[in-house]
Amino acid sequence: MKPARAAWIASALLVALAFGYPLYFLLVTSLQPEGQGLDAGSLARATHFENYAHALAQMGDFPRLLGNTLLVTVLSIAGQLFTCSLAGYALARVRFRGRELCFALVLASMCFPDTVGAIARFLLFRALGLVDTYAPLVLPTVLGGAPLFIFLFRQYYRSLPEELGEAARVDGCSHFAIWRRVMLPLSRPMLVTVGLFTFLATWNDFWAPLVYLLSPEKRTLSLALAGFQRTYDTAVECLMAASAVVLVPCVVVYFVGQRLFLRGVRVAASKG
Amino acid sequence: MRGRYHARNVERLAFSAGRGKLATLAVLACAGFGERAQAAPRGDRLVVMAEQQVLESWPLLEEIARRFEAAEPGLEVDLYDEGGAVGGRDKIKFLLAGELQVDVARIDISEFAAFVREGALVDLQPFADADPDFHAGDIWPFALDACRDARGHVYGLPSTFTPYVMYYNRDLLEQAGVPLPRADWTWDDLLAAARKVTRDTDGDGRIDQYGISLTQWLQAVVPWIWQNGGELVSADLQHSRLGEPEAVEAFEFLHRLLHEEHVASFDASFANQISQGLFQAGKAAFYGPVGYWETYRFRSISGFRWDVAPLPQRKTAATSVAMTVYVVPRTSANPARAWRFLREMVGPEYQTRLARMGNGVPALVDIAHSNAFLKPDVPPQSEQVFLDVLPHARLLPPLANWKKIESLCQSELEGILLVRDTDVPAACARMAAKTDEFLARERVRGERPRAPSGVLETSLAASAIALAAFLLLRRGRREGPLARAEARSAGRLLAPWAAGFLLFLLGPAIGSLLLSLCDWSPLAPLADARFVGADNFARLFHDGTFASSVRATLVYAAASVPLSLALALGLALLFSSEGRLAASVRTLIFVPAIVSPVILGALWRWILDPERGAANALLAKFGLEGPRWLLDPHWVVPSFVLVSLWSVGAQMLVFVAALQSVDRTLVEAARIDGAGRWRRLLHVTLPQLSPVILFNAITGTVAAFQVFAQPYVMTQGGPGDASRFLALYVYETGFLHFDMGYASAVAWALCVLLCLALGVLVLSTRRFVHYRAGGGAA
Amino acid sequence: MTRLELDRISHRLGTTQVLREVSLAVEHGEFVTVVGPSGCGKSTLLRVAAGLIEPDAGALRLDGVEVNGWEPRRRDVAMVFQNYALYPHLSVERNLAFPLENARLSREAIRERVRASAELLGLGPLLARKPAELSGGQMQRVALGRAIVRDPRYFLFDEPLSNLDPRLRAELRVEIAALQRRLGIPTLYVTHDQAEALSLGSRVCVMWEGALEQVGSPREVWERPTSTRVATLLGSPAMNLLRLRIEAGRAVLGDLRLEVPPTARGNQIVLGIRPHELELGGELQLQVEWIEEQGDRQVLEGSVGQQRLRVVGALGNGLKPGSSIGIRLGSARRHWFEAGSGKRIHAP
Repeated sequence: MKPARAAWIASALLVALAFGYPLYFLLVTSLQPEGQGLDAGSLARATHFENYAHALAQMGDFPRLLGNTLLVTVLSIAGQLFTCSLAGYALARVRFRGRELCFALVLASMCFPDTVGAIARFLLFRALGLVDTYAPLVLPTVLGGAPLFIFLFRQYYRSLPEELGEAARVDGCSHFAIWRRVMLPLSRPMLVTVGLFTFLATWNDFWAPLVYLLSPEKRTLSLALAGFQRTYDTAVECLMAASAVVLVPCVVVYFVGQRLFLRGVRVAASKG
Repeated sequence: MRGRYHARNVERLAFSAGRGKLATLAVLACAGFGERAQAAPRGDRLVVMAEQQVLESWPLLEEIARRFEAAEPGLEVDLYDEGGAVGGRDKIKFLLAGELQVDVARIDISEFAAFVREGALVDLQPFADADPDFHAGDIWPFALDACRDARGHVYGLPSTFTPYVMYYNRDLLEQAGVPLPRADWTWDDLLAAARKVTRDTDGDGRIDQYGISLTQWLQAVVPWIWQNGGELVSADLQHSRLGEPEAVEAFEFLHRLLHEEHVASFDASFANQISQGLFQAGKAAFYGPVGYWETYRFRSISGFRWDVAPLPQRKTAATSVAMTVYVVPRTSANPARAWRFLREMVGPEYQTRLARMGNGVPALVDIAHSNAFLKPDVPPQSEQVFLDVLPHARLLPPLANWKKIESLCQSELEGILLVRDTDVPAACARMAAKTDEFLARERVRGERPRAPSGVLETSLAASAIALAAFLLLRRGRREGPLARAEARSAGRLLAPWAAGFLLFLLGPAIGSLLLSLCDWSPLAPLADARFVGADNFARLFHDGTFASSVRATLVYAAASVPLSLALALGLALLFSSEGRLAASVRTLIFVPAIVSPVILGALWRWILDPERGAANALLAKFGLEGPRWLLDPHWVVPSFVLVSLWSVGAQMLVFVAALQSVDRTLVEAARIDGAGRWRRLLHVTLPQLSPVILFNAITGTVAAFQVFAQPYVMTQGGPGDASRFLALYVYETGFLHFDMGYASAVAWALCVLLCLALGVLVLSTRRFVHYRAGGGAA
Repeated sequence: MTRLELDRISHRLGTTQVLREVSLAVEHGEFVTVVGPSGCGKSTLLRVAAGLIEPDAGALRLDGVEVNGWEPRRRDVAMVFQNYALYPHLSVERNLAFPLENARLSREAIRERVRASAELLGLGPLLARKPAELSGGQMQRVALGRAIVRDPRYFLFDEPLSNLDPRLRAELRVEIAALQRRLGIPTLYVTHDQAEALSLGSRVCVMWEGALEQVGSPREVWERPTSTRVATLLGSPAMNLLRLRIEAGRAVLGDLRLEVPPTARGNQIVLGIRPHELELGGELQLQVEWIEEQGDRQVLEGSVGQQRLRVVGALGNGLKPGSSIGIRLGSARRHWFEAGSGKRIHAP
């Protein structure tokens, strides 16, 4: 083995250690005996797999939680991809007065912190009668979309040759048809990236479900996870076990997603 | 023809790739599920907001609810979960602001006065008077009195509560030959005992066994002041008394324990629920002042015997009480029925069973004295202590804005307790001055005209006008038919975004701008908002907390953005290859970015623990003495920078993607030109990546300015105001201090600062960013 | 029968006037080429014709009907792009079928027409491939196929051959010409390659800064360029333009006194002479500064007095930069232009 390769592997292991530590920590803690807190996390005692059963039992109706979370996540992703790519295309390739203004608005809306808009938004959803539904969790992504992703899509579409859209237009497509038949199939790397980030954000989102969901049967996983932190009896090992259960899908989605994503990028790059 | 064409496209879109089903589902999710909440307040429904303080309490509450339903036919009791200890308390504020029906809720006693002042609660006195079965004497008098307003009307019933006591490690004290604390032990006894216990057991030159693990939040510190004959505020609640000698002495005593005698440890500085403390590890003789909840956590201790004792005394005996109160919010549909449910919750059965679960001291005197609470067979042995101290137990002053005062004091408090060289009297004087200043301003804010009409309506009208003006402006231009057709299709494509932008961004933004001109507590109806003009913005310039928030935010952004960029880029360069190992490492790098902030916060708090954390243990291996991290005002922001470095996964992924599409020919050309690895990176690869670097810098800056979850979970803004980042301050001001107008002003300040920062970033890097022809970022 | 008519088309992009009152008609079956330097507005002109850009002023007519406001899909036009603009995610077959699908043809009709045009262009074996798997020539053939498959009312070509190597370029040039002749569809073809413009077009338009400098048959624009701009654009190497003083009714070139057209005014005039029409061995001494070898012939570049000159000829070996050689105008056609405006001075 060349020394350069050995050094690379060493650095890979080091980085893996540094960044993999929370995962290790999470898993080991989740297997500790009851009441140990975080400190006593020793690998030797990490044998209490029953914590997972307890954690699942405490979360309540796990399939239902999972179903709720998936519903919210899938709707958000679909809405996000639809809205952002559509808006990104319009901002990149349709010529109209006010395009720069719209784009500036997209960029500006990145700067506005959510924290205080929250109460006004809550009043709005209240006025629409949508509190205790999934609409407040899903609608802001379905409509509106995240400005960051609109920006990403716009940049991506601008990097595609302009003639592609012109050809499709000459070939008889409306802008909507160009978006759907040419742009969308070509933006797979972007779709995967944005889908990935939306998935992670929605899956872990805690504040919106906390504020908007009332009925216990509508709870999402992140909310159930928060329920483990109780004033009197936070059971750390069960909290960690539940976190692991919630985390694993994220890691899997990421692992699969990044391969798809990178492959997509390579295909796009090779096309020139 | 064209219409049909378009319609068919839409149809095909809707039904391709299963999106049709999704759309249907979305409609169902919005419409179907919405039915219940949309309904106007209904008398045949009782909405109860409750938290699971202990796991088993929820089924019990459900049982009560079902029985209540059975007793009143046609009634439906809905139990809503507050959603955990983190943030759960704020849910009721949203519901009140939204005028949603809630019949029974639970609030912390420290927020009680604010709720009463804003008219957020129903006066329960008439129901109490009319209820023949209600005997005020059954309930601990001090607890019930805390639920009364100035006129003596009852506005709520106490839930379980807990006085602050001292936990002690019996074995450790006996080994050290120290007498166990008696009911009338004193500060001097504590100090003497602590001195004897404190030592370096493993001979590494560092103390690892402490006399006391000292709790340091205000409610835990206040008893020391009271014991010394001091007060927080004057009897008329108009002036701070923290600057007086009694209070100063108390603070000096604590400072002495920590920094001169070195017999006290810091490990309990924040409400550190997840980490096992020194006491639990058998490394501290005393732990406190702290409440009953720890008995629940300590039940699993098997290595030593432990018990509880009253707090030590000085001039007098005193302790503070943590308590939550069941109340009937103003949005209740049927307060009479809500009162009956309240009575169930404070009734003998529920209280008995809660006591058995270990959920604090029961509100009913008789049950507190029964074995359901005293549990002779379960540690601690001296549960009686929790009852014995009650005659000296006091609540925090019933000030409507107590939370704000608490946070003003907390910052100085942490300065006193954590920093060795603090001038304690001066800090106390500052604490008092800040409080006085705040109280004075509160007196002035009083009678101001109400906002002319509802803020929401105005904001919606304003955004509609803005939209109309925008459309009119565009209409005014002369355009050909083709351009008009383009504009129309652009309009269609942008419609979903535009709708969302107007509804969920511009609307709320304008709403918050209007709010920033008002004085409004989220507990009160929106119509009660008072118009105060630019006052809130003027306040920004005199607000020391705001200034330190700005400083902390700027320092954090200035450090974390470039460092994260460099780290993400470095990692991407190292691990952008396609091999399995690289992919796995990349996945691992991503993990910290996707772990829930709550978990991550707990983990980091533990890693950065100065005494036992992994970070300092690692540094010690290299012979370095680690800093005090989150406990040191100078290190807390760097600590958060460190945390942010751990979450570079997303940025790295974007870089990896960009690296894989770097033009290889240029790199090869440079190689042929004899450029070394480093020069190739600097002059070929980086310029090609520059748009992506800028992109990551922008998103990183946006995220850095809005950092919230980590400080919220890890430090709550401390020590002092050192980590009270702007977004956190906005949240605290709005939802904890009930000052939504000022919070909006701070949010707008944050927005302006961020825009400035982005402007500087974009303009100053313009020269270094190279776009490929026709190419773009990412 | 289609007649495409551009009537005083003007367009502005930002502050630059890209098109200035361009008028041009393409008759049925006609092949019109537009040649001009990059940035002269020829691509914009094409996009206006396609309906991708709406001009600020002027009218576009198809068989006399104004179509300014028509979207491209209503105009029934086909366009071929320099970078082929094939849809990378679709196979060759789907690329060919793409416009037909938009036109809502039946599946059988689509298959039939795709097959026919694939056959016409020899694309049969490539149908299943993706564009990334094709060579440049193949890609442009597919793009051609996608254009003809619909049987459009008119064709637009935007420098379709610029990305190809010279051999392929020549080959495809012939193919395009033959195809167009066969289909008889009016064609507007934009290029910056003068040879292409001259060889393909039945009419050639020379464009300069957004305006048409000259429109005429290939012979006409070659033999009688109406301005120095046209003169320099056509021909490689470009025409020599010598700015000469007029003394006593004659233009002064070294020792030569050349007769100028009687209509010439002023005391300056520009003489244009094509490099390959100059003859070697004569009264003008050319200081050779650079020799460009072209195999069968050489291009000499140098100066005569103050004037820069290029000469093409078969010189054989021995000549080195720095030496001088005699040349003469001989029978070379002399083009006279006004010194100020660069306009051709027509002999009466």
